[in-house]
Amino acid sequence: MTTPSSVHGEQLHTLYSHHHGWLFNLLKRRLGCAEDAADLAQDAFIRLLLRPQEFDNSGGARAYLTTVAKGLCVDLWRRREVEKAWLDAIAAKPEVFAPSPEHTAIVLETLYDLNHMLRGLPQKVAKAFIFSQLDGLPYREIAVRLDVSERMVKKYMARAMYECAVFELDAADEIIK
Amino acid sequence: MTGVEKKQDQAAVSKQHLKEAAEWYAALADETLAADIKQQWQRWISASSAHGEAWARIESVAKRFDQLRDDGIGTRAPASETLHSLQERRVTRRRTLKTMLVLAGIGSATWLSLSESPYLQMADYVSAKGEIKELALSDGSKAWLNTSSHMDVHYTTEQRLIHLLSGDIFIDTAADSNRPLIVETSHGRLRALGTRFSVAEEGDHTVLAVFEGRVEVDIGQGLNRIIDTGEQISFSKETWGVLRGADPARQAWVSHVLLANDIPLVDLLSQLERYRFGYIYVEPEVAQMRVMGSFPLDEPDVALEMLAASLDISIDKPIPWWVHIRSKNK
Repeated sequence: MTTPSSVHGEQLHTLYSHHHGWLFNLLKRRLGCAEDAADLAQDAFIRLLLRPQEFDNSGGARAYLTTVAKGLCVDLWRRREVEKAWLDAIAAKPEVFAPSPEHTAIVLETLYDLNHMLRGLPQKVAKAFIFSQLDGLPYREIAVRLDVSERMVKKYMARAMYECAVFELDAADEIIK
Repeated sequence: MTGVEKKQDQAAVSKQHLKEAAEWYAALADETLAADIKQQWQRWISASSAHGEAWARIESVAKRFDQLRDDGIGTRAPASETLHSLQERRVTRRRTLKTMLVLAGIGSATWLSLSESPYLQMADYVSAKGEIKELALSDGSKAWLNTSSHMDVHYTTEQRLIHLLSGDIFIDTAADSNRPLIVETSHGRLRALGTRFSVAEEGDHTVLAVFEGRVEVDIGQGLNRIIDTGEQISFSKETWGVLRGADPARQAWVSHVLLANDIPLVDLLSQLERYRFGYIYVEPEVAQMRVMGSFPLDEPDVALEMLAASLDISIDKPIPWWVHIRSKNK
């Protein structure tokens, strides 16, 4: 547990001037894009502001910021992955489909969350869950598509539901912390 | 500290309730549902307020899909396509993903709660990620532990019991007419009838491949059968998979070789991922390329280079644990 207000404005300013340069360069190397790197470097410092940390020395701050930045890179990649899959899906759609930008933003956000929730599950479990929840397929049909028994589909469903619920529970706990 | 303990206690209780609620949900969604199951479910809900709370959580997960399903402008099909394709291009198993998150130092609270139970760390024999361990057992049998595997060995005067807790093992049994050699997994019991065979715990099922001799499999409820030389079967508790020819790859790893006999690239990579730290992301345009060959399991990165040399793919590693594979022509 960190004590709140251990980083106040002045300290943050010092940290920023000492660490922003290398962090930005590190991110730029990794992402290959200065704009993304600038955004993520900013986000890393915002994280520090929201969840203050106590550092013994500059090495500690460096390690912390590197870790945060890596996590943010993974998030960004995952977002891009979802966006790309969504664009591919729309492109493959035979009929015209042009949702508003607002609607697209909401859909992408939901897809991003769902993907995050489902990616911890074995593939068949996740697919069974999507087939049932989104495609509305009966267990019989899901069993055929996944080449498993209907009983197994039911087990998959229970497991997916349970782990998603636990995931959301933990995510809520994280926010409270 | 009592506050914290209490909170953990409550969390443990509600996880059990969530499990029950999830099982009810899965039962109610079954179209062949028994007539009285709704009444039973209602009885369960009204039995305790904690049940009602757990059910509300389950419903809120279900609601997240509703937003995509019924918006009236046809979002459902592409949304479904998106989620399915994200699943299909994913080569990572859950374990690898956790390793990656641990390496990245993020999300530990969320992911630890999904992680393997601590009892695995207390297993008699453990192999690290990427390690293939050869063991000489006291009766003269030999056992190999594949990457990230755990097993217990209990030899008594009546039987030689090997308990596979996770991962896969290959056994070459020594004859002992007085004590049968038994391998137990969470899905069944295997009795060796003088033999060489591999056993893999693969999450919701176990796979047995027999290379010499025969193995008798018992999956409970009086269900048992004998698997012969050259045969392979998967099973879970009380359910059989399809009988097929033993996959030579299930023996090749003992000699530290990853064997690919005309399999999709994405399948090969998911095998390779079990031996190396990090995350492999493969673009869908190359995921289904067929691969044949043998690759060194001790050096997964060399295996990646070999793939890049033989297929039309390019492999980038912007950071050591993130490998990105795409078509060379893009």
